Amino acid sequence: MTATTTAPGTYDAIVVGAGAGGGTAARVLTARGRRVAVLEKGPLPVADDFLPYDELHFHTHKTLIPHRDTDPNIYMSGPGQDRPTPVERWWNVNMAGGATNVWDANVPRYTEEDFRVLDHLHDVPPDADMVNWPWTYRQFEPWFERAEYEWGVSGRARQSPAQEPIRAGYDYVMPPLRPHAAVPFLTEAFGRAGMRPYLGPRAINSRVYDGRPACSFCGYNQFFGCGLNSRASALNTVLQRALATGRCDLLTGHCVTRLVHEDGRVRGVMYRTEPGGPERFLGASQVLVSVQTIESARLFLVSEVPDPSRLIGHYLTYHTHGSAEVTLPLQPVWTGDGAQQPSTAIGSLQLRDLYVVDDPATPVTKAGKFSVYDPYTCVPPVRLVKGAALGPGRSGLWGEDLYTYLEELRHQGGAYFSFTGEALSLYDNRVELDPDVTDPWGMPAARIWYRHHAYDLAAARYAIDRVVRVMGDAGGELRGYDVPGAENPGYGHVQGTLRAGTDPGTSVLDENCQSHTVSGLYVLDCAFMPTAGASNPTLTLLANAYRVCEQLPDPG
Amino acid sequence: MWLLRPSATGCFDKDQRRAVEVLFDAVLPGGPRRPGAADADAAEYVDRLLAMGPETHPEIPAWRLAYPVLLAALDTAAQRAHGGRGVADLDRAEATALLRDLAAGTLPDWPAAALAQPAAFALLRAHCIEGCFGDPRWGGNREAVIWRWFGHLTPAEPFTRPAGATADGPGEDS
Ligand SMILES: Cc1cc2nc3c(=O)[nH]c(=O)nc-3n(C[C@H](O)[C@H](O)[C@H](O)COP(=O)(O)OP(=O)(O)OC[C@H]3O[C@@H](n4cnc5c(N)ncnc54)[C@H](O)[C@@H]3O)c2cc1C
Repeated sequence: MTATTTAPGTYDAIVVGAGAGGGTAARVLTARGRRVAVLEKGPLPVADDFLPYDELHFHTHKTLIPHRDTDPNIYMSGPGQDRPTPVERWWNVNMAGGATNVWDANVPRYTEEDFRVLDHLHDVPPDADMVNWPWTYRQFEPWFERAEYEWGVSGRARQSPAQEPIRAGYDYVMPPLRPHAAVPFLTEAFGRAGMRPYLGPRAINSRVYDGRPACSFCGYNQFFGCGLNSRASALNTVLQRALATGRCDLLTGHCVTRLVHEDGRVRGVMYRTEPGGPERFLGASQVLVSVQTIESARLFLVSEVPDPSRLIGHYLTYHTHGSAEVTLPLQPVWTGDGAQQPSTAIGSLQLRDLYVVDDPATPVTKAGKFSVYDPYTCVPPVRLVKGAALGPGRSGLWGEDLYTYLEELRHQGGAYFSFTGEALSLYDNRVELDPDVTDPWGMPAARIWYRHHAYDLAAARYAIDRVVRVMGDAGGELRGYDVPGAENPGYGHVQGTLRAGTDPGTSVLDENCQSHTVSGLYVLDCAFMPTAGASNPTLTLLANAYRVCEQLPDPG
Repeated sequence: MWLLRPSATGCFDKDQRRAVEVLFDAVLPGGPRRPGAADADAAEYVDRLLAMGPETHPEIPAWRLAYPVLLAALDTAAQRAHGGRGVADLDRAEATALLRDLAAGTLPDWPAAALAQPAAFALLRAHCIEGCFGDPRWGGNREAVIWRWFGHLTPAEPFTRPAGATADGPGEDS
């Protein structure tokens, strides 16, 4: 891979951020013949930088993320939301490739239940501001397929009626990853409850694809870089292609500090190449931003993008998340044979039967989905053991209790369910600029107000408890149990703040994700999402980036 | 490829090191059929870690200040409860009781300069787990003894302590 860091020339477009959205933009625009500069504040890693795998170095010692004391978000905590609290941004990885260097690569599609949320979420509480998206699932379908092809998604269509609806004749570019040994047991247990889990789509190679090898099941997935490039990242997929055209300059160590606009048109960006260094200007008539939701809002606010309806930064959403872990005393520990994942598993099943809920026992009508893992092997042991629990309220284990937990893991099968759920949009959940704290580049930190609506909490709890019941009926005993509370200091699934829509009175971006007030300025990260949706968001971010960039007008 | 530059020296003096060994042994108390913090030499991990700088972990300077204060406060608490014996001289049951009180925040006269008791416990627990379950290249998890028993990367193996060896930690006999 090559990267150019020489002085920039004349560009048709500037892309801010070399991660999921920015890399995809560079890919599409260079294929369309445009000259593109990608400004990335971090360095350029190679896969080898992530070796040797080491949990202490990469995860425990927080090597890959901004530090809480010097580069935090400021979360307004407490019931009165009046206590500015620095929080660590573990979801930001500042290097070319962005967070896709360390992601879990679960890549479900958002579906009509997300695009036309008002048709599926009934009795929306009056204080929430839910809107339908200005596009349909069908309109996004070709772009999902493009993203799945170029990012190399393994999976299988039509395994389960609960799966995303997939066009007849279409299938993923390669088969799913080998199933985990727990799959038959879990499929049967959930089948008895009328639920149909399936092998989930992953942007992880199940065989050689796109010049990258199949996953080796090394035991280090989420939070670790992939030393083999078996897991797709922006760097080993779309940016490779963009750079190969010779029309893309990847300018690492370039932090964009301001979006420059005049008379309702974007003119370019200001950037610094070192903290404290001079601000410099780079011009282009199109600027596409993909730096993760909160960062985009921060950039819009710093740049004073005109905001007549006071919408910038508002309608921030974090998916609700939570988890349940069970142990199965009558089930021997899962051991995979050659046809299954080995003991260093990365998970298999998706459970999407509670996306839409029709149960007279609850007012909840839309909840979310689960990724299912083997608690014993899906994360390396330091994080696993620190999080050990023997039931609700029995966490922080040590001494004899900790051995009880460890012996269960060593001898009994188990299952871990990670929930991603719908979150209602509230105007007051928002990003502003912090008046006191600046980041190392001299930009005001993001100050964040966020409390989940009671609906979110009820939906998450309902879904998690349903899964716990099914597992209880199958002989499982509850161990870890984590349901969300109203406070949420931050999460990797973050949307809104620059809502897209057709009406400039209610949205910041138009349906092509261009600013209503500054033409030529586009946003590709999840800030565009009008509502949260209820699945891991990145495939939908990618599909949208393909859609926007393929239709981007000629620079003028 | 990243390179670990291990520190040549540790950070604790002899008494501090011994006290950490005693406390870690109570956090993960090994037995004849299960390895514990003493088998892993988890104290070696934190001893070396604290001798490194903030480029290894941004909290290291704060921990380096916190540990001596915290160990001294625990020593005082131990001496008061056990007729003048400090942490280094506690048996496993005594160390376990001390940690239980620390976790609950119920040790009397805890100095204001020390980390709050539950935070102090959480720090000891976290570092002990890291020294047991982390990569051996950092000085703990000696010869991957915990990984081999737990089954990380390779299938779990039974543990038997080599003949003649005691976990060179404290309280195996208690
Ligand atoms: C541990 C983890 C697991 C995840 N797992 C999943 C998953 O399984 N499925 C899923 O759908 N999503 C997952 N995600 C989320 C996913 O990684 C993000 O949604 C996605 O990467 C966002 O794309 P992006 O383009 O907005 O930002 P990123 O991919 O993060 O890229 C942003 C880039 O912009 C750069 N940048 C930021 N500010 C500036 C600036 N001012 N100037 C220049 N450059 C700048 C950053 O350095 C970064 O390289 C996970 C995230 C994490 C952290």
